[in-house]
Amino acid sequence: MEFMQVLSSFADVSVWVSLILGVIVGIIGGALPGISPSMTIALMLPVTLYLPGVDAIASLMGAYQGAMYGGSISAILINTPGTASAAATAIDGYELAKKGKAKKALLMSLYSSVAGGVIGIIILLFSAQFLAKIALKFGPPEYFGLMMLSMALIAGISGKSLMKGLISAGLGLFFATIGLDPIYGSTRFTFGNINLFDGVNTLSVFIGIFALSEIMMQLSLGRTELNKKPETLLMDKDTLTIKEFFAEKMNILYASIIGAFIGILPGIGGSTASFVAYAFEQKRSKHPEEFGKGSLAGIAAPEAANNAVCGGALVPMLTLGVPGDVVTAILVGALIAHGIKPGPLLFVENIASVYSIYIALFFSLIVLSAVGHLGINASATIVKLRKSILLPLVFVICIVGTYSSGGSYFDVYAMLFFGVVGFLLRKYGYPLSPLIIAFVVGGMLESNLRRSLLLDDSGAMIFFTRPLSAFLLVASVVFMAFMVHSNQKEKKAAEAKKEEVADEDDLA
Amino acid sequence: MKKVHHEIVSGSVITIICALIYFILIPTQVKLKPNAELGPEFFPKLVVATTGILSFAHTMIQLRSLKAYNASLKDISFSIKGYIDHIIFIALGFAFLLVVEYLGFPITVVLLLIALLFFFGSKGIAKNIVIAVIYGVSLWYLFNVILKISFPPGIFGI
Repeated sequence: MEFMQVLSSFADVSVWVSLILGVIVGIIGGALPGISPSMTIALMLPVTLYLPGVDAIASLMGAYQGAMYGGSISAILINTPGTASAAATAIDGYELAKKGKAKKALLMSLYSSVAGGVIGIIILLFSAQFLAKIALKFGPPEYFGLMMLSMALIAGISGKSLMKGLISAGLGLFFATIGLDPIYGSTRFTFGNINLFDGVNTLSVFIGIFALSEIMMQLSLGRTELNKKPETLLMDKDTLTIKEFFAEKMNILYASIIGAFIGILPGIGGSTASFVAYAFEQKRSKHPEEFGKGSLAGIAAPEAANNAVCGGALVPMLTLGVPGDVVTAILVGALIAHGIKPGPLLFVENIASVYSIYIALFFSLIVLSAVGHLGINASATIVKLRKSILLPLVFVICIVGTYSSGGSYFDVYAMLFFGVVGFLLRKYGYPLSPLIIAFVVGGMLESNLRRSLLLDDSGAMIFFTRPLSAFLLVASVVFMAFMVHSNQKEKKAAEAKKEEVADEDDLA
Repeated sequence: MKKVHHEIVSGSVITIICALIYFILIPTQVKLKPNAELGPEFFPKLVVATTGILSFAHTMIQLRSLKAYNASLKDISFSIKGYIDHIIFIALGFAFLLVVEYLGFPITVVLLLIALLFFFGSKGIAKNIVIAVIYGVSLWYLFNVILKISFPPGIFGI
């Protein structure tokens, strides 16, 4: 009954306008190299604060799906992936575009993304309710275990150095303590400034850390480089046939399942999903030799996988309140700003919001296929925009967006501060994703830790006397160890490859 | 080599910041609750101490690796030259915030955009002015008129 009521709210024209705008903004953000999906959503968030609930959810979900597809446009046309998850698409996409088949490549990418997105939603529908039911039995120690599991994903996103990832997360946790203490209500690090009593404005952190620091990094490239016009390949008339698309149906199905399950696991994300799906399809294919030379299968697999990640990543986010990656961390912040608190209680107290998210995700895919198809020729223009024009425009959006989220210029000062912090951390090789994830889960982590410790006299033993919290803590440690091990393995493989190349150069 | 120097500098700076927070900021900026079990300072202390220890350990590891490169701490140098553009850029942001209260949002944002477009290397005076005016006014219209977000008016009443 409630589902039908929510569905009827999507009959409103304003919801569809929000969906369309969300998808367009997402595609543009994803297509522009240097503007990540997380940055796109962070920049769009202030505008959504002024929209009614369903409209806001629709625009956010539209932007999420749009950005995941948008990354492939620049990957195919200028061999520069707009997002990390589109890196695998560039391998065959650009090769196909060089052969004069850019349109075919873009259409394959679009429809694989849509198909992958649909399969991701189906997996979300089947697993979310079940997981939420289990999570309803959680108390503070179990929640603390969950938050620790979320923190453990930092090991996976720390890049080359786990130590630097942990330091970055420590800074994020510290920033989360600014404001009123969650248990006693005492002020902390507010310097008597009333603007800090509710903590640092989440948007100031998101926009400063992601958008502003990125602009500052790009500034280091120099004006000549920033003013260069990207070379794009000409759009041809050779389009994708239905036969060619359906020839990849099993490829898309497998890639989507891989993508959705990788999305559910915290900390792995779209780029891994697309490369795993690419490698899987190459092994499965009857013509593996065509991969890397402009194979349509090489575009379909990563694109289906990275859009399926969206549905998968929403499973832990909605049911447990645990963000699986940076984009979902920002979505958690966005939903909280709209009065929707992700977690198992959401499925009991506010099931209408859950339905809105499901429906918005599904409709955003329909809009994506239409907007993506109609705008295929315009996409070549988007990626041609010079950075010397794009970056100032983005900076102004950062200022206006941050101001409008709280109606105070203090938040803009905070955004500039976090921009500098983000820039310095990036400059010195500290990953920013751990900082954002720690900042988002920091408040919950602290209150659940302290509440658990105050529950009885057993102290820290409480986490080990309750089976589920003990399991979650052990799982966090195992997960972290696994991530560290695989990171080191990758590092060693990269070093070995480097040495091999050096030896070959010497021989030459 | 330069990378190791970077690691040492960043690790040391974070360690010092953590020490300052732990010993100066927490005692002065956290309002303590007398007799409270696990008071408001508990979690910040835990976080800052852990981060400080990690960054100290990171610095020490990098210091040890200096030997492998046969280098010393004396080689560490810092030049502000590479950061001048970034400083000007952030200064433009602060200048905007100072001026916006007097000139109002639409005028200040157009001026900021013109300055930024030239600063980022976009060529063509007329082109930059047109972009700045169209974009600035569109943004103001979107936020102020459509989304009803009020920006404090400046001396010209807008």
